[in-house]
Amino acid sequence: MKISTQQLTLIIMAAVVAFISLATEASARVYDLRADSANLTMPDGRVVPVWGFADITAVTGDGIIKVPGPTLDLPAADANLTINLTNRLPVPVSVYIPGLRLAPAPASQNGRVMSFTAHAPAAPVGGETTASFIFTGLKPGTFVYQSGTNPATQIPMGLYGAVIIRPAVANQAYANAASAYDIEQVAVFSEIDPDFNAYVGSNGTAIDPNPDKPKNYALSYAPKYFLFNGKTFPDTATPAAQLTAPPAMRTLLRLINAGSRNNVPTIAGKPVKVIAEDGNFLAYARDEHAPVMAAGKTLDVILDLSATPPTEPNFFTLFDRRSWRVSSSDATGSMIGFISSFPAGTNCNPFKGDMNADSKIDMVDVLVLLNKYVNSTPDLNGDVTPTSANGLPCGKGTGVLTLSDALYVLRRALSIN
Amino acid sequence: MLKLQFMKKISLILAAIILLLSVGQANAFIDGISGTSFQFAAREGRLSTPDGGNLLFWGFADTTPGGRASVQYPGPTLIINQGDTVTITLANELKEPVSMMFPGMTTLSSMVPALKQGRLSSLVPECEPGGTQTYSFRADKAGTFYYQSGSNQAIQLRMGLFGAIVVRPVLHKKLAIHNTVPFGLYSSTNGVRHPQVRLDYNNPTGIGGVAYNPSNSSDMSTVYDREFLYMVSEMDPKFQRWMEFEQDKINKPFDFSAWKANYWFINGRNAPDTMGMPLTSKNGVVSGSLQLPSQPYNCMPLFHPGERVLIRIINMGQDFHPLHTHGNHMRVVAEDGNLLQSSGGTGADLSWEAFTVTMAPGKTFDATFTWSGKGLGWDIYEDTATFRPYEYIADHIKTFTPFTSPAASGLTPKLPPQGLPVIMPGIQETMAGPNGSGSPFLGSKEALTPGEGGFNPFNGFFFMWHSHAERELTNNDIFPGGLLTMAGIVPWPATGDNLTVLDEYMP
Repeated sequence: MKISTQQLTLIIMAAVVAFISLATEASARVYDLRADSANLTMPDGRVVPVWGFADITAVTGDGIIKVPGPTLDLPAADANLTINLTNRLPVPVSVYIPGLRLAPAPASQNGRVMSFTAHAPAAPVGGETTASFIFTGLKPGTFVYQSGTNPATQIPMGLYGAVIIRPAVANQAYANAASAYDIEQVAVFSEIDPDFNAYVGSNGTAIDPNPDKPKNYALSYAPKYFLFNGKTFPDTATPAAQLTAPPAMRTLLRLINAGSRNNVPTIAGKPVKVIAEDGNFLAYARDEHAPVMAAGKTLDVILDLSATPPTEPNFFTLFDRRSWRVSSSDATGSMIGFISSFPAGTNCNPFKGDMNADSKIDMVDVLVLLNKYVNSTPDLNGDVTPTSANGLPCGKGTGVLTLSDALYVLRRALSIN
Repeated sequence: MLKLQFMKKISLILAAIILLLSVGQANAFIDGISGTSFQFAAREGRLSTPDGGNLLFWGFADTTPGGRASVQYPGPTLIINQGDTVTITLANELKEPVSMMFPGMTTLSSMVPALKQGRLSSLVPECEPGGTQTYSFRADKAGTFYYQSGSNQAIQLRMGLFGAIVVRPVLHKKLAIHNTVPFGLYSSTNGVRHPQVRLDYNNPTGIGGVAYNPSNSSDMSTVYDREFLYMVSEMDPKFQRWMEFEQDKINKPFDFSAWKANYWFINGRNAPDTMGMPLTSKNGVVSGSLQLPSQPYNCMPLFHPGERVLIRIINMGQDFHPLHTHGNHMRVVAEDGNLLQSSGGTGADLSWEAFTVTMAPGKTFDATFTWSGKGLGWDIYEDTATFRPYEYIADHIKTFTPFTSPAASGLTPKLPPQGLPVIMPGIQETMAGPNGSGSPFLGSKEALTPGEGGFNPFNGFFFMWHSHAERELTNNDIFPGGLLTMAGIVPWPATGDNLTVLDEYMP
């Protein structure tokens, strides 16, 4: 049988197409994201408009706009990542991931570059626009995705999130066995200037052209809230916001700085092992108690409690060593997170005893606890005694309240530590 | 404007007076207090700035019997031995709770966060005003560390509640003799070869030390002849004044997002006070910089050619500062009290060389520095007869390329044929500064403009070691000042030198 050149070309083309589609089917995670506006309430009551991403992928996505955005979690088999973006914001938006390959296609406006890549155009009122981004050559590591359009405005507004790409071996951050962990946690650091967000949220731009009093909110950018996974202290103290690092385990902390300030994440009283930077595994890990995390950087660190002596505090503070650049003197607004490391089956949260969930322990909580005690109503949150050897309110674990629980909460309410 | 200039002049005069009162002095080891049990008090104090101002601060005082008992900025440097269990009983004389934490140490006292009305008040248990609280930790690792308040850090770290910790390794002054190390291209004197570093520390009466336990018997990476502390911090005078006069957190809160440093400190002093005498107390007699009663520590690295200097760097501020060493590169050998060697010295050497180290907030670095004149391309001693200790053999007897001055300039080289490779202007047109010798050669001097010099008794070379963020070289906008000091290369004593004076100058 004689095959013409034309036929041969067709066969090769068909083979290539088949191969590509096979490869695509085998390994190409698709995330559908939506960019839209939302509001965050700060612990001092101030409502701050933000722009965020929501995961609207069929079945798996919850469709909720978040800051930071939903974590994109990619299995080892994936060679490519496709992000289908739906934009409901009044500005063009795109997605890029520093460290991963994306065909560059800078977009311009009025002759000036405004986007690192092609973008979803500004959404018409009540409508939406779309764009797709395909990242190729994925490699294991911790990355950050963020808007590549007018990033000076859009990233501070909240358009960022974590990307995790996994190696083939489970419970390892990288192909190297030295990156093995028992449990992993993601901690995204960022910050908010409420005046900046308020203006951009209402006007879509940071520039107030008022002829009498022009102002550029990007120039006066001065963050006042420093976020740890989208929350600022004291909202970071709630059990839901705390990270978990169980005793006798190696915890992988994927640290991401999505803000525009340099941070020094520090765990009080406990050095960590830095095993990777920017998704690159380090041939030689570094022991540090104050690693530097520049803006846009990611660090993978191991909090190793596997050799924990029994005197370990079971509760750690993870804070930005520079977080004392805060807006108020009672630490409200600062970048302080907590890592609980309680023995299995116990809750030793030092913030326990806040019976009415108002983020503070005062006489009201004592009264609520006494009321429940009198009525024999069990409450795990008030079950604070006996305390552990190192002073944590582990309680009995039954929720049955006693007078010593009330006394403990009273002491806390009176600030007797 | 006129008033401002006048103020600047006054400031410069004040700075000059302070300098005149205090010739630089450097000890081989960092100044501090040693022991395992201390009593500290947290109290209010005032510090002086070289522009004539003074600022309110909060600091720690060593109230241990026999201690200096007065509050200081930064707090007393603890010099302890590896393995020691240290107990500090803190008495709080301030109006708000304070605490102490020891990053990098094995803390033995409780690490449970302290709550106030159920809100976080401190990362560790606190000491109430008027009360006392005991903290204890074990120094499991050798190295450079710090202590700080864990309470209300936005205010208390800005106010100065911190201090340095130096942990001496087990092997400090106990290593086997290492002075057979080949010294490569360096000279010998009278047939006696000098080791690359003057490891007098092997000698029980010698002066050197080792910063970390060596990973093996040939590891000399942190062996040093002299060590210096470089603890940096910063202040915004607006905040210090708010603390002094307002402190109205409800009606007139301080906007921390507008906080901006305008004073930068090394060991609690701004330049040029960094180069003044330390305030020392020996047998109850206080001497040195009496005019800086709450800033006892200076920063005046003085060392001989070929000596290895250990710089212990700690940043207690909130900003990043680039530390730049003139004269040579430094080698960063440890970070956060961790030796930069993988697998205990059996793996890769992770130390690195730099002429600028980014001093990150809350971090410590140990760096070594040696200066010998190697590679300058000319004989720094202008001497053809004898080799000097650690002289770079390849440059011995080398002269400058004779310089031919352009006829049009009308200037002539100052020191033909061995003048500097530039046209030296006449003496009336030059300023030498207090450390000038008038000579480009180590250990020799030339005529100076009247009123210049006088602080360089052995005609050394002086290099600026400073922040390379130039704005930080000011005291509230008055240059020079801030995060700056001079490092002096002092020639080895020569025949006829007054060794008593030399010992006083650099013990």
